[in-house]
Amino acid sequence: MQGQAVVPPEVEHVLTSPPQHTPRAEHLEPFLQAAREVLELELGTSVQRGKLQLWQGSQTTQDITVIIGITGELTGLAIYGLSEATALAAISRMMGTAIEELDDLALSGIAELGNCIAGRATTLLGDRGIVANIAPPVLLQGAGSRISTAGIMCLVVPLATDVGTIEAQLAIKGR
Amino acid sequence: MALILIADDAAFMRMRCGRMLTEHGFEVVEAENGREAVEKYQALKPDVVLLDITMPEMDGLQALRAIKAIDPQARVGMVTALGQQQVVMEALQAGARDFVVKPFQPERVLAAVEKLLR
Repeated sequence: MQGQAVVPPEVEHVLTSPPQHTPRAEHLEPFLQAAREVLELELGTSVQRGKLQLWQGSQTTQDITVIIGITGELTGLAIYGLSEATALAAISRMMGTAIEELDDLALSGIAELGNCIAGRATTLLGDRGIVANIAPPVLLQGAGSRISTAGIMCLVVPLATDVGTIEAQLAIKGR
Repeated sequence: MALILIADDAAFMRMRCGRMLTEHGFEVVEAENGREAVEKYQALKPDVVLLDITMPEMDGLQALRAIKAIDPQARVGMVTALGQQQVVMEALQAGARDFVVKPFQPERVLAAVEKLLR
């Protein structure tokens, strides 16, 4: 991934020597690699990873949030948040025509983007011998709601593209 | 004109695949989940079925088995974000004849349909 940010020491320490319910780098990296691959293919854009942060507790949603449950040898949530402007730009790119409104079809496309990223991540995990599965995506429309990741610490990674920034929140732990 | 059944819970994917196949001269019918796919297969006997896997009510692998139980000669391809080896193997062992991983180039789905029709 282009322009990878340096991982802050406190974040790197937690990822490599995690206490319980903390995400591990080997579980999370496939989700970030998958995001790069899918966004590059679907949007024709390069993806730059921004500053990594670790959060515990609830998060506030953006205009559009795609939530995907992860099950199997990993459990948790993969959450992708973006602004309405970014969602419109992304779906316009995907459909090859200017989209002015986030109707049900457009929102379905955004949800499918999250589904493809999470699905690709499970394939990458499978290549590493980790068997994980995904649930159908849930799409939340409306900023300012709070999402709790049930005690699992969440890695927050901004992914900058030329249609806007998509924020990945990965609250995933091994069994 | 060959009839293609597209089963995917994402309206966007049904639209995208359907538009591309229609432009290439195919007739398209849609299903939103596996249960509906099985019902439409029974009613319409499409020439080709394209099944997503992660769907509510009945997933694509269950639908594949149900369709094959109705018609062992059914020509079914999987079109899914899940590309893990064990998923591919399970689908092929259940009778799927092709497996397309999302995201895909449109030509890949077209090639899958043409392969299934042979």
